[in-house]
Amino acid sequence: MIGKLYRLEMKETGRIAKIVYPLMIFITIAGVLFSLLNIPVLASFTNTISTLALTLCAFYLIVITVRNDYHNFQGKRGYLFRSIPAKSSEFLLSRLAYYITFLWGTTFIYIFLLMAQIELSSGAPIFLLVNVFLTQVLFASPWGIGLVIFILLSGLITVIALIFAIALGSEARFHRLGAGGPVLLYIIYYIASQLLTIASMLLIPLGIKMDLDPATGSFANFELVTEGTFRYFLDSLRANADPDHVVIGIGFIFTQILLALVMVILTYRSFDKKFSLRA
Amino acid sequence: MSISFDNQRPIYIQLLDFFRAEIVSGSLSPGQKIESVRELALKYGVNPNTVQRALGELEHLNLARSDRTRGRFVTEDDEVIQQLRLDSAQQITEDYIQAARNLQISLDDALSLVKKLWDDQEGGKE
Amino acid sequence: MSLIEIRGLSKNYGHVRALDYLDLNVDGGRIVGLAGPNGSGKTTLLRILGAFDTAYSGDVSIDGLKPGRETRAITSYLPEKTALSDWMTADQAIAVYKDFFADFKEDRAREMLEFFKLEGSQKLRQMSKGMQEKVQIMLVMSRDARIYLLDEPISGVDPASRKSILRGIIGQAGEDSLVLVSTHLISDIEPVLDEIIFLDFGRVILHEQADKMRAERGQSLNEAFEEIYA
Repeated sequence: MIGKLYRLEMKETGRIAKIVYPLMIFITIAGVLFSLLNIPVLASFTNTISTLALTLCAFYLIVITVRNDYHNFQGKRGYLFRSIPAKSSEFLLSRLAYYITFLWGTTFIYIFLLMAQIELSSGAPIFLLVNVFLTQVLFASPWGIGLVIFILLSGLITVIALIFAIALGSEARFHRLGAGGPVLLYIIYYIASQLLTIASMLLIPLGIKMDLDPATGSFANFELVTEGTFRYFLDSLRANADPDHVVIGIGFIFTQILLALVMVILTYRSFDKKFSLRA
Repeated sequence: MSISFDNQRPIYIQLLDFFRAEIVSGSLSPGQKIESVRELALKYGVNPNTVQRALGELEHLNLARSDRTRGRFVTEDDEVIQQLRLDSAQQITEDYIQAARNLQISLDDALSLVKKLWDDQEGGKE
Repeated sequence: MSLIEIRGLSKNYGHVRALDYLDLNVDGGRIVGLAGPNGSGKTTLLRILGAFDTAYSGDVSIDGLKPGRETRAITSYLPEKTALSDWMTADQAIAVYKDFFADFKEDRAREMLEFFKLEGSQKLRQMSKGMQEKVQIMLVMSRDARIYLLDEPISGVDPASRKSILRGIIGQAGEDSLVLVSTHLISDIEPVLDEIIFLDFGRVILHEQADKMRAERGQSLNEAFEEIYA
């Protein structure tokens, strides 16, 4: 059932993606070709314009992704989707997979095309650099791998927050707000998340202490310490900070995971709560 | 064929009357298989339960019988059909007499009128 | 136990009371009309029975179950406006229904497509309203459901298509199933009804057998409607 739901959700947005992704590729190639003509002033403009165009495409596709999911379960197509005898968990998981596909897919394609644009039009070996960075720096150290996992986790949490906002924002009690319900809830989540992150960074006694070379601005010698950023923050205010070290609290990772779990539970429970299809 | 029903009267009664007329006229011949409830409902654009009720009445009047395995059939009992004809004729005649009386026509005039027109119609039929 | 049993059903949309302590029992094996002026609660009632709205108070039981996932498996719903994407063809819509509903009978769907003289490969957006409605009816009635909930299946549709759609409904409704049809075009639909329910201000003001009403009142259901709601 999850697979079937996933495929049905993919159909609607897939039709748009089938046009937008090739369009993005076309924009990149066109931009590169044009900039290779080396017309003096226009060359730098080309890159700006094509970057802007790519950004708009990616942004548009992400908006459509969210919009279609909304219409599937709370809008136009609600009478079809909500008549399907599937379990709440099956709906939830299929939507998660749908969002991950399009949000991550679009993000990767976007970044890839940007990199390609830079490399092809300026000759700078971006792909090589990135490859080196990834293999020698990021994946070579446990810290790097931790960072990658953190980035993927953040992506997942964003998706969870989106579904949470749509599910709870569409409960019967928010009926009057219409589509504003989910938007409002996402904003509340975002603000709460940021505040929690800052508080956790400062206060939770777990952090990474790094050597900071003020000359080159590079970090080295990562060390796990049992303190948050609070002390370093105070010291900075009093201009007392140790110029060679910086402590970044990482306790926020736990709070973020906790927040995500809370949202998953609330979303799951909201499926059984009183709701009214607003179609 | 599609009959148009008078929505002001119970439809099952109208269906029943219709079937009786078909039997009397011979459109539904003795022993003929009657279509299924669903087929009839579709044909006349009415509710299947209404058809079922009308056919049930038909059976009750011995104008049809149902054989569990093979379906419903018009009765082959000529006496019953003849009685139906007479009953229908009686109804029509009573209506006619009422109308004729309203026009204040005498029995003799009415009878000679009937005789004249009866023969005319006979000729017209061939 | 009736197929549908409702006790004290109430529903508010903000300040508007859509249903007001509504009581109703409906049995299977019949076609029942649901009539009433706009705002009388017809669509609200159908939505609640279809489990598209669970924010109500009172008791609703469908074959002994509360409206939810299990009842969705035995009810087939026709919304007022189509929930299908307009770029879909009838063939694609059939494929979707077949995928999700175990009780969907494809041969029935093909039969109805033929009966309605529709092309399976034509996109919905290229069809007239009457044709789109026929596709929807075809999908909804091709499910072997216990209850069919049809919200205004013939409104906004040309008269010829109306007859065709009503025949589609007669032909597909199973012997034990219940077809609950809401409509304001009573004269078109009355020959097809076993029973009629009149709603007003969120309550049932009448629930009667069609022929019985005709015999007692000497009027058509439409005339009775006009008289009662005058």
